[in-house]
Amino acid sequence: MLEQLFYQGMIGLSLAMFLWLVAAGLTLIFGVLGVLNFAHGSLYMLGAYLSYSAVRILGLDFWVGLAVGPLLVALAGGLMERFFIRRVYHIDEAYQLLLTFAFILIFADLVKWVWGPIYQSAPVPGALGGAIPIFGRPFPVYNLFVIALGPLVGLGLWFLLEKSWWGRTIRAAAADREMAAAIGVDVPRLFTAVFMFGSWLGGVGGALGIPIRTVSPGMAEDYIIQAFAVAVIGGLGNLKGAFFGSILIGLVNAYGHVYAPVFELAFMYILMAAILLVRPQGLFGTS
Amino acid sequence: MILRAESINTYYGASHVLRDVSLAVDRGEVVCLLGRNGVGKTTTLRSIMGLTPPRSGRIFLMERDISGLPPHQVARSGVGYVPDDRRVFPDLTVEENLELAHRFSGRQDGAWTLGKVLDLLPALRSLSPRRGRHLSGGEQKMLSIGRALMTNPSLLLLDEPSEGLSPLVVKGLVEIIRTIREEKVTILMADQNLKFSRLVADRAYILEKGAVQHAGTLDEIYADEEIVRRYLAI
Repeated sequence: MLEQLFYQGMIGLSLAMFLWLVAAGLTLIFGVLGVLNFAHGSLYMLGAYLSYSAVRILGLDFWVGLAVGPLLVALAGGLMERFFIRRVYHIDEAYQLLLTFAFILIFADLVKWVWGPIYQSAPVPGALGGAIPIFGRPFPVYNLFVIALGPLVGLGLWFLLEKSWWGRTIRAAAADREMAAAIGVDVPRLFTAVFMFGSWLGGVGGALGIPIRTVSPGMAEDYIIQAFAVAVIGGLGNLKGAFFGSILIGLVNAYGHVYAPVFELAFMYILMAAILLVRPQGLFGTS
Repeated sequence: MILRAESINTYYGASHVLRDVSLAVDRGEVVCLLGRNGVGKTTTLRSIMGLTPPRSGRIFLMERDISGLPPHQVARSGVGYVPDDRRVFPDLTVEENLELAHRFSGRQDGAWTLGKVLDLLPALRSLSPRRGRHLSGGEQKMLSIGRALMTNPSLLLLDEPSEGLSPLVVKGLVEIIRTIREEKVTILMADQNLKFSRLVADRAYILEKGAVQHAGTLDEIYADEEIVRRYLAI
């Protein structure tokens, strides 16, 4: 009984780390640029499809696919910011919503057109194949790898934002873009770079998922909804909140799946609603 | 001539804020924009900086046309900006605020370094590891001045430097501005405080309703009761 509780917790943690990678990019972009990118889930999906193609169609190594896919996603994000999103920074959020929502539809059709509507997947890379017993049951090594990688990405992000000059510039421009420009920071270029970086994080999440999650045109919507739940629970624009929010949602989904499958999807929304009622600014947000 | 603005017209949306403003500042001068609240002093400085670009007219910095340049390029051309509401980077420490400006100016070989700015503004030295948001108003003002100096400007735009400061701090500010001037930085400032301006500036432009109404030396303006009553008295 207790074993199953722990085992399911580990499953939840590995789910959480995919969610974290998606939510991290979403949160970073919102925190710095002030844009809620509804198409962020589509960038995650694009990362999955591009890496899948690299591995399955071009026959490249999994790790090469993991490197190339997200870079192409970053490029797509950069073009999206440079030619479209940049134009709506200063106008009403409703336009940002409409524009990024349009991108969801465009990416969804693009993916169906190029890769077809069927579910795809790729094999687990050799070095991370197999399973090791955890709490008396075999647990996939690949999931352990993902669980370890998530906090490392978090640590890397923290270091980048707090300790590097690029991070300090980002924090300065996030707080006051006019004054950042007035000391010589090319803010539009910085924002494009941040958008590309956030897109890259989403792409990494998608690419990492191809051996154990299905690659399908519906994955963008699934993930963007969960990533928004994470952002709301953790506090919009707050990376620490996104990390712990992801863990919370991952665990709720994993336990819900086993103990109350009928309500599996409802738990996430109940949790979100409860937190909104008690702490509208989210767990780590400041009001 | 370090700065020349030729009949600039600036708008906020539909409202016409600056009307054919022309002014010139010579190298080494301290020039003040005088006038009551809302006459266009801040907008003039923001127009020069490229933060609210004029819709017509031209701005020359050292005979180079900088009208229409984005603010980061104006900054890199040698214009430092101290806004009236200070606007230090709240999340960065005092030292990071200063270093960041130094890095992006592209003018690191100038005279102003971290050590020199801290010598000029010694109050900041002990505050160095503190974040911008935890500073008092006066400390933020000093940091804002130091941050602009770290870009090694040829021209410093100072918006309402004396506003909200205690008389004692204003006294210190007079000394600071004089020292900056001795370092061959030209200053264009906006202030409402005629007594303070007289202590630091040579010449002034008086603005009213977004247009230059009068230009002259500070001593001349100070002595002209009619002008003081019409444009400056509150």
